[in-house]
Amino acid sequence: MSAYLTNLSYENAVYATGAGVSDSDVQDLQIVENWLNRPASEWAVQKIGVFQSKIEQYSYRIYHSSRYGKHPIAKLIPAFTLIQYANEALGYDGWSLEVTNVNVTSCREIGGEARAVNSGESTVELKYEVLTEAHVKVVLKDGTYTQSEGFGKAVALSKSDCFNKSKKEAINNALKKSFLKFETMVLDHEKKVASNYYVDGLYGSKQWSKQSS
Amino acid sequence: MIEKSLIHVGIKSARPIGVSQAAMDASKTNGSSTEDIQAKLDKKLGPEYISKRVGFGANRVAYIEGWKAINLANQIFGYNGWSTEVKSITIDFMDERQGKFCIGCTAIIRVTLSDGTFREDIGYGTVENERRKSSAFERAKKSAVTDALKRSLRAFGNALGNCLYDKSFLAKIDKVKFDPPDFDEGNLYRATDEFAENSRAGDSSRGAPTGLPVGTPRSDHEARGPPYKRRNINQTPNVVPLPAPARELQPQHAQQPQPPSDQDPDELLDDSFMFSDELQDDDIIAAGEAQPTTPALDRPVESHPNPQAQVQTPVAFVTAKAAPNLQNKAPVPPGSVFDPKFRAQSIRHTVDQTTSAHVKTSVLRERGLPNNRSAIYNQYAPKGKLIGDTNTAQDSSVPPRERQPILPAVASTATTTNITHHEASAKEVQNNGYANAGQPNGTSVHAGNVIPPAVSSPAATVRSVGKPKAHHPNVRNPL
Repeated sequence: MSAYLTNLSYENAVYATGAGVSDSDVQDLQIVENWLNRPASEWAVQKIGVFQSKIEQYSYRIYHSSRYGKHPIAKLIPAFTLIQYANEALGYDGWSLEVTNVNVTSCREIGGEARAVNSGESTVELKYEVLTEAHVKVVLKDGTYTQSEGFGKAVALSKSDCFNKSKKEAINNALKKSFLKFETMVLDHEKKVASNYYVDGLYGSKQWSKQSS
Repeated sequence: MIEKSLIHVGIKSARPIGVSQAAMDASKTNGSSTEDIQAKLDKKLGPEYISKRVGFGANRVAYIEGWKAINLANQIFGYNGWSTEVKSITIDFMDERQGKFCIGCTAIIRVTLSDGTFREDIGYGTVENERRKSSAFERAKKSAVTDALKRSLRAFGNALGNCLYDKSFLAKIDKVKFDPPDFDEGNLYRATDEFAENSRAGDSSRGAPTGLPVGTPRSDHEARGPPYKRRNINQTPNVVPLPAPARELQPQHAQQPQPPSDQDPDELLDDSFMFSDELQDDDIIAAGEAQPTTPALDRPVESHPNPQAQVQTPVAFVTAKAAPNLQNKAPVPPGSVFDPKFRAQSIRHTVDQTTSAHVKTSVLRERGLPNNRSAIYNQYAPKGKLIGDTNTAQDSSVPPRERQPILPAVASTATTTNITHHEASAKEVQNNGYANAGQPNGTSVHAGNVIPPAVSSPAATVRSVGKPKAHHPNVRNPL
């Protein structure tokens, strides 16, 4: 709020510590509010509830038809559906999606060697296998965020297809996981509030509720 | 080492706070527009935005073109409502094969809205067998960035491409999209057709049901006799609502040697939507009552049972688009008035299009066409007693004066007296302008291969063999 009033922003400030300060000391200072897996406001709790109800409506149909066994919901629900639900529940301006890291862990040729020997040609089609891991962060507009890691694997004749598919798969996977983390986040939050877990005076802690009331 | 990692975490987590403040500010300043944007984003894309290409295997992949996505984003967020930022470009591989290069390139793009909300996604671009390394990279980078941009935009909602992942939606939009190969807009069954059909089948007592009486109030017409007497296509190129005094009195008799106004005789007796056998009950009764009780043969045909002068109002058909113009008495653009005289150049007319009449079997027989009925009947031995030939097939466009001499001959056959009497009375009706169903609208209702009837020689000995012409079941015998 201070930034809004005074045009003074700490947003890009870099905090550094000297040699004499340890890691744990700096964390005690609470320089930066960290809302990882913690709802930052009542708005987040409500909207995540709406979002979750949409997801459950979707999974209900699948879980209650005998065709499918019990699969993780991340496997069953497509990413575009989650995005649609998020846009409906949180609003298009209610959440942001950040790709923090995409890393190809391995890229190797498979099945090529034996065939090359058999046919005696050097231009034998090789198959490629690409493994990717991606880190994705979903940030709500009040600062609440979740992070997830996703993996992608693709096997194809062309290298570019491999990279393309595995990278997008990894991001999709990570996106789904981080969206689905909101459920446990809210459930945990209720427990933590009940047991007075938060002591930093921010939303969810006892001090905050005293201040606001 | 510790400090470095700490700083890293700090920057990452500091960002959302700033974003949230920016978001709050934006929602304060234009709260209504966010709802607009949300409503726009929730809508799914129309078929005009969706392109198809052959994907992996034989299946077709729906996608949105990059420039269309950008246009959509400009429409939805406003030209200054969003921005893009290339976060990173990674070259995944660069292979050289016989002096040609293959490059695969990944781009990560962030699309930020004015309120600070952003979406990031990756895109992939690849170029194969490019001679120069730099141009290969250039093209791969470009397609990767476009791909990433589209993928990050689609996370904003259905209208920016998220709906293209929905298989059931794509199946439906496929049906919307499909047009027949040679699509002819003029050859469609339209809602306006249905309207005309309904009004024809329904009440004809409403008077020019499909046409709008131009310029004059309806109540003026009501007392003036059967409505289709009044029906009159005024063929002005652009229908301008006429003031009330411009209405002209116009008797509607077919025997009038010349039409009183500057209109064509065809136009006077236009019943585009009324066939001659569709006479309503009461009208025929009225016609019958007006006749003297003497047989139709003795009656002078020139006598008019209904010598009422008709109020002529210009009646025309206009498109639904032009209807408000008409109601507001504004000039109607010429293109939106139905032209009953229109003749398609592509259709070869073999029959006189201005009148509606039977193509007489006698004409067919004279031309030696195989389809005539008598040829069929000639194959069989006549059964029962033969009745004399009657000249029942009359051309309705023939002036009654010329037809008069034939009528006694018609009556001479005893078996068909009753019928011919009806014929005559029906013709009387026709003479009065009831049912001279002109077909001025150029569309051929007859078969294309028939020969035009010999309209000019009605007194020629025409022999119609076969069943006597069935008359309308509703026609009552005036006797």
